Amino acid sequence: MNEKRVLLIDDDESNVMTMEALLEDEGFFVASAGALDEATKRLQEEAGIDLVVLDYHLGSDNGLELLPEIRRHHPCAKVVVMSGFAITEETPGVDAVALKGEHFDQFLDMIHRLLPSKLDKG
Amino acid sequence: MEIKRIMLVEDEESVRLTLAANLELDGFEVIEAESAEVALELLSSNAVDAVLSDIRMPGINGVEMFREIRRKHAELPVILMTAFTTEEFVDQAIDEGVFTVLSKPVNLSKLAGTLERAIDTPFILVVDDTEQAAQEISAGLTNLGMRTRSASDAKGALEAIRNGTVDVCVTRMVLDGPENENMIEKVRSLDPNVICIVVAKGDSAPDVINATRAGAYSCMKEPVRLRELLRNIAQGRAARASAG
Repeated sequence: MNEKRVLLIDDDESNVMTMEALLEDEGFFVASAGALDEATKRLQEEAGIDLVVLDYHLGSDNGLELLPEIRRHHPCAKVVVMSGFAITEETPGVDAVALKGEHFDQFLDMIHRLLPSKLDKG
Repeated sequence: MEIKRIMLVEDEESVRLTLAANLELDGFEVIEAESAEVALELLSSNAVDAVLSDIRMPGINGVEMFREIRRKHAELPVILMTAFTTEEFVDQAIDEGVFTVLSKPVNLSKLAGTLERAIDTPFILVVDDTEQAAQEISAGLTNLGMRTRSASDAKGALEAIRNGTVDVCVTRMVLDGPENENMIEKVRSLDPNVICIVVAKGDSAPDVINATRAGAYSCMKEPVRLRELLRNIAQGRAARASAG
């Protein structure tokens, strides 16, 4: 178990279901939030978040609005932005961008690169 | 082979010329329009097989044009393009049944394939052993101009894929009976290009893990909401058009 903490911020229940199942299977501790205000509360309350997986489209809001809040409470956390469609704009303050539905192994490789010393499963 | 004709709608001349040149190299005949207004006018006197259009343009935007096309040419497949991920119109277009939305710059090596698939007006295969559930999903998709087929087991699903153009398979994860085991693997080995969308119960983490590992594009929580399904279909097609 790597016991790293991931906060999933996504209003797409199906994507949360999928990511939760897959990340927990990989040994992560996963919390989730489905809206901007709920996510803000989670960021304030949850301690020691290592990775935030942030949906680009959070209902009618832009998930990137949460970046200052993430940085304020979890300055060391890595941030992966997920989108259903390819993001071609520059996204400063974001460590990586992932496409929803991308093969999970690719997603996992990306997390390994972002948190290299913390994901040894052995 | 019959030459396929594409209506290309793009207000930026340099982008339009590049796209047109590439599509012509790929064997398409291209009718160019610099605005939605011009495209709609041209469509009244020119038959085309598909429309490829930018979303954000002066005057009528790509989504408004798509609605207008729907009214007059219900069967004509429309693919939209946008450089803006936050584009507010993308959701509307998907909700109303656009084939897919591609991110600009589009992957030119995949564009011809995407257009050809759209022109084939592929079937969306709905697999569910509960007839009513399958019918409800199919009816919602059909209302938006999509072609659907349904099957109640793995055998029927594989037969449908063998017999026709299926680009998306929406299937319930747990179909009764041992013959339905490893359904995703079977579909993917028959045609790896089929986008598999799996419907699973919210508390069935092992099913979700198995489906994803078997190559499912996405997993959806039961009961299926049409809006969410449309998004998964459009995103799956866009992912296929941008990969590689």
